[in-house]
Amino acid sequence: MENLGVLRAALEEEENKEDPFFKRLPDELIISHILGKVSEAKSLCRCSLVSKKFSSLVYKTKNVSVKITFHIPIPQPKSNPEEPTTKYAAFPGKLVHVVTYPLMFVQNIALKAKEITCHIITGIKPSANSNFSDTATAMNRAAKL
Amino acid sequence: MASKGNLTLKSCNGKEFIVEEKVAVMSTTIKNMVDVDDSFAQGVIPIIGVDGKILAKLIEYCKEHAEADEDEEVKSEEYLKKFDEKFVDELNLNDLYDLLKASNYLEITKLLNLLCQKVASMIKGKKPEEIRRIFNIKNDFTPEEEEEINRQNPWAF
Repeated sequence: MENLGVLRAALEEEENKEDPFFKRLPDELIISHILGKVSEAKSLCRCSLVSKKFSSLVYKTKNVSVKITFHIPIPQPKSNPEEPTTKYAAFPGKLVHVVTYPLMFVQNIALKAKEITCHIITGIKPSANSNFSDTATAMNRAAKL
Repeated sequence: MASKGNLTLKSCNGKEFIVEEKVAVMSTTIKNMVDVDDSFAQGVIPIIGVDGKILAKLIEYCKEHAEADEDEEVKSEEYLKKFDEKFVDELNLNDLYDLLKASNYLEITKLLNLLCQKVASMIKGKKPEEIRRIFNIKNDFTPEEEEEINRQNPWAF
């Protein structure tokens, strides 16, 4: 019996060496206090890809935020005065990656969770080298990609 | 009466610390013990599962915050913020885990929030393999499962 106890202690020690953290902390603490503070959809999605345990915890989280930032090109000095001025904001990268997928991820969590709060934060960020001249072009590009 | 005295806290490995009551009752668990049973206030309070090193850290944190609560002029908000930053920066992963567990058990809400914020900041913006490396987490997905998940979540990278 004594040997069994020693063996179990050794096994536990081995298990604790690997992932001393999330295996041993109470689930509720990880879900509400840690993942709740991570909150951002992209980071949470990445967490769900870490391990099975992590994935199960992410889908129990109650607080998710999605950040959508519009980039506004800073008007550059024009060589040709006839050139039209840029008026619209554009998304950085693919539209689906910035808006659609994050919202789908939130929806997946919401389907499993009993209660969930979702904050959608939109922001405008001036950008000197935006690739898009206006939203319509951005939409077209997103549709093609 | 207990309200003006000192309390003796004893760690699981037998180290005793004498602390002012205002420092000790930053822990809701200790506060409830003292409120309910006066004998705790006179005797030794055993802190189960917390060793001397971690208990000393907890007391260091509670002392600064209790003093700041009492006199904002001596310890300003800015001073506390700097203290908090330094406090979490100096922790290794094991200490961070032990402190998290202890502050959860002892219900030291401010410290628990600070530590969880630290862990959250270690996760935010990191890729799955980086998170695994930081926290020594084993990837238990099969290669097929991993491929499927990556296919479903191209936006996260």
